[in-house]
Amino acid sequence: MESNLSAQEFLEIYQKYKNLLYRIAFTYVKNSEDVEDILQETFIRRLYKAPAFEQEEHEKRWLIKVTVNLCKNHVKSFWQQNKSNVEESEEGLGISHWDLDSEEKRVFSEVMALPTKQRIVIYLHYYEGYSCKEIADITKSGESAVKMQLKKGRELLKKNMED
Amino acid sequence: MKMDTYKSMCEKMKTSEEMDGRIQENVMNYSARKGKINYIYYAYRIAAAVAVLMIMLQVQPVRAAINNVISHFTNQFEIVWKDKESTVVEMQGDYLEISPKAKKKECKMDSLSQISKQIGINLLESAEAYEIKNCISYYPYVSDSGALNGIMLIDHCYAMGDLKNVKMKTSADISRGSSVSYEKGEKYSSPIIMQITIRSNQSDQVDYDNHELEYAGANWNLTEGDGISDINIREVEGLGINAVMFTVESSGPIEWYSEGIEENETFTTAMFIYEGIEYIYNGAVSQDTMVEFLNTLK
Repeated sequence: MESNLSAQEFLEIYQKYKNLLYRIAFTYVKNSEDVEDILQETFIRRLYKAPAFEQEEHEKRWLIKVTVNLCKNHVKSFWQQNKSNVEESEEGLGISHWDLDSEEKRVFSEVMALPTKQRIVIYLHYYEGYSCKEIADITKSGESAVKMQLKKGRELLKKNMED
Repeated sequence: MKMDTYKSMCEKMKTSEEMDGRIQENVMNYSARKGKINYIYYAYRIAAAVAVLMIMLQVQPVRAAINNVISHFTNQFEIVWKDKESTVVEMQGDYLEISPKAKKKECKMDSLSQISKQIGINLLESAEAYEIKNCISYYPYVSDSGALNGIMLIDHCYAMGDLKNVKMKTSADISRGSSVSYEKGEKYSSPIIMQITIRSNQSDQVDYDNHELEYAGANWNLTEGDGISDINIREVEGLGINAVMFTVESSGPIEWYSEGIEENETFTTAMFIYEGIEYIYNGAVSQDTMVEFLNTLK
């Protein structure tokens, strides 16, 4: 199977997108072990199966979509979706290297306790800056459903953080 | 939530150096590994041909073993209960003959009977199915060499039970999910999702894409307390089989929205194999209601 990138090009792309894709996959599957499998598959597809990209944004969007699809495949078996327990230790989740402070840990727990579909739209909207229309395209869902999830996720977080 | 804290938390969500090393190595070596796998695959095919020859020579014990390898697969569930001895449940599925007429491109379909006719395999259907145009997503798993490894069918709204004010929109575009809104009923707090996985006996088992089928459910480890509760093996009298059943907290797929589902609900998942095909159903219903639903399948 022919690779469509040189080793140097691959490493540059890996460095550029690894943390973006890691955050998206973690937002879905909530543990680093599964995230590693998903990232590996995403980059295999980038190296061997990706189309030619005219612009950097196209490549970024393609990588995000592949990651989201793989995450959805991963959680297609339903019970996977919520098997990770946010009460697990940082070692168990494979995130001890993040070095979160106490306030960040609190936010992390509250965000990870949200339903999956609310976590992902909050991340893509508030951190990556995507519009609801763009998120609908990435997650292959309706714009109105994305707006609804964003609204509910925001309200739920606000409520839980105040409690 | 303080947005600054959320963003600083996201900044720290990073891969570790060890993870980077493993991923880079595996990705860069993928092509060489795949070549090696193909080599093993051809060796396997040669071994299978030799085995067939032995079968023709009436070597009975070998025949039984080889048939078992080629025609069947086993889903194995290790169930670990909190207060009971753990157990292993095995369910044997089959690699089936899928009609050459089966579509090899993702698409939307209207009913299971339509799909059954096309792929030449009978599928279980419920009289309570909520069938509308383009309600079923049809995902064929096709290898690089064009072999059909299997088919996965997903309907996010297969049964609506006693949900009220159901409004559903579907699209012929496979990249668009269906969206549904509803109000909770007494028994159903969400639709029941259906997932069916059919594995082909013409599959190219070593192909990379076939890995996606592994997510369908084979070899689950179910541990009570790990986000999963109430694991049971329930009899489905109508089908004469047992289903593995358990409960998780979930909000269901993004396609669902309802004023009733704002936070996680208690979802029941039921999985079983019937006539070699893997069926999974999932919805915010009790396990008793799920069994009632399963008994409507024919």
